[in-house]
Amino acid sequence: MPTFSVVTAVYDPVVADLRACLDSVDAQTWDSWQHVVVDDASTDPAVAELLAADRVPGRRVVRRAVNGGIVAAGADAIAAATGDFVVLLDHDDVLVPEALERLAAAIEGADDPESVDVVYSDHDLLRPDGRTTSPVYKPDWSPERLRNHNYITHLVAIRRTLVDEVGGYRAGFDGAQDHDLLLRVGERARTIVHLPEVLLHWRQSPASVSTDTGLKPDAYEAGRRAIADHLARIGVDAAVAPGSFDGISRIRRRVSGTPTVSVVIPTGGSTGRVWGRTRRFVHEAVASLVGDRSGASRLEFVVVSDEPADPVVERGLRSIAGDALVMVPYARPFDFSDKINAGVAAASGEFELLLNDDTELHTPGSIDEMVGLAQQADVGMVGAKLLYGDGTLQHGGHVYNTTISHAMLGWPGDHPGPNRLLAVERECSGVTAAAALLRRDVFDAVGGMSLELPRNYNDVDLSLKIRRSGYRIVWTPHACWWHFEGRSFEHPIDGDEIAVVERDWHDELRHDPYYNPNLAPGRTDWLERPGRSGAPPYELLPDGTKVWA
Amino acid sequence: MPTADDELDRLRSLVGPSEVAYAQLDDDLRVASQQLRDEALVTGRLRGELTEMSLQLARARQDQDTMQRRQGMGPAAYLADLGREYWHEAIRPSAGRLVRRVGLRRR
Repeated sequence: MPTFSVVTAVYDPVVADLRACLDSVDAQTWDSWQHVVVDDASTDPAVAELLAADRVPGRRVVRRAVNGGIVAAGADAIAAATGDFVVLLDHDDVLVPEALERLAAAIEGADDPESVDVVYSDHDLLRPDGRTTSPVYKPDWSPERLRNHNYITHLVAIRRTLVDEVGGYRAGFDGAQDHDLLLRVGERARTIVHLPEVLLHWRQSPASVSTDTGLKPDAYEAGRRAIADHLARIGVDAAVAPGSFDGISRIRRRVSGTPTVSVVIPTGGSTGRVWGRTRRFVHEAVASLVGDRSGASRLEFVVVSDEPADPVVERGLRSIAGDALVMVPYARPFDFSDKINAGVAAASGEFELLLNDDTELHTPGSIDEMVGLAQQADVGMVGAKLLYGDGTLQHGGHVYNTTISHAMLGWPGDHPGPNRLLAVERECSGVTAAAALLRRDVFDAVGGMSLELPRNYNDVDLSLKIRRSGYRIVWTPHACWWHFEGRSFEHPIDGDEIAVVERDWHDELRHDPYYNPNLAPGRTDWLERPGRSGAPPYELLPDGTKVWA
Repeated sequence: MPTADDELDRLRSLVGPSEVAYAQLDDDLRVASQQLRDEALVTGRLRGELTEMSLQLARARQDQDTMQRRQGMGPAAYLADLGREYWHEAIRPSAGRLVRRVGLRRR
């Protein structure tokens, strides 16, 4: 049975908030805990009085002679910890009574409890009036997302031996010390468990990051240094800059070498009207990439064209792409999967960009963004942001949640999404093959596209095969194309080919690790299940009285 | 000179559209297309905000329904409701996964 050391650093807090924090630890239903409270030389005598007067078995108070800042105080707290797991708790946060009990159950319930090094939970916000609101339902372990921002925050418990192994808090990272620690711990952790339950209330106070993310520029700068250090340790050559929204960072990876990217485009050579002009889709798709000179990658265009082909299609492509064009005639009946496989077979690049012909590059440098991610050995496929012609979001990564669809379909294209999920690189269960980049060896290893799925769900199947092989799939908002597909594209689990997907991926289509069980099934827009949206909780008193907070 | 230019224009109008006219038409088309694209983006912005608000509305209606339903319950009904939710969301899916895994192993 695991023991926990809750560690809290304190410096001149609001005394009532500190009391609430201390009381929430005292009230734990789990007995095996220690609460290490380090008073970082508070100047308010009420703090010392509270800590001296309120003596509780299991709580250890350490008073520092000189104020040293959050890192120094936190390090002292960790040094005094004796439990199996260190639990990080801010002085104004409040644990739910069952928090440690649930953490223990999550550890004990793992396939190999001894290998669990980190367990984290969901949290919500604690308003000044005492009501809770805005629950944050997090994905399972998502290292790419953690590099972009600290999506884990609290409540998190880390095996103490691992905290010691990585050196605990590091000096110079005040304000981002937890993010820095989580990045280092994440590099070595054997098993990381996400417990999809709200176990902590994060207080919204005037000086809290939870209230105003613009308040702590020094913390964000420290966070970027922590990310840069982390990237250097794991061998990713990148620069880290402020992100487009507070609290997130922008990682610019440098492409290693001059890789060849084969852009595989199945086409029937069709035309259509976009923004009032008739275009031959495949010409515009290729021209927009040829016109982007910003990349380090060499491009090859493998166009799999239906036979008999309109000679205009090849002539136009030849004039746009020149020697970089490889034409693959396709004379069989329409089969998207077979066309992709034929295109990849004819390609020479070490990377394949699967691209629909009804696209146009939106953001210069997108291919290098994707290659930079795909050059990480454990990344199996990279997806891009796709926008409809009216600028609304078509693809923000797949969600498999008793339905198969795109995250936040139809939202404004520049919206950061719930908890910034559309503004950060993050793991997904799958991505659309309308614009997806993967290494050739990964494509070959999973056997390419399934010929059992000639029209639909072939990208779902490809994604899940790639993940089953142990790779991560990453979606990035920094690679972006227009996609002139009909707006009605959405596939409920129904239709001719669904039996194949259901047969092979029944469980995966009902448990998306990058969604959350607290979110409503059948939706992909982060709508919570009934009663879990943070609406005022209903409390039933012992006498049967109902109290609405 | 003005007379010569006028004569040139007259002759051009007699022979039909010139390469200059084609370029002008192309410019006009490009400008019109850009305007159409800008308008589409404005419409898309509104459409996107509508989608976002639809989610907020779904959330509010759902919360209202849950609260109204639970407000009318006594303690036993309330606990039964929570139990039913737990059964549907936690126990049944887990049991289903377990049964499926066992079935797959047998096969």
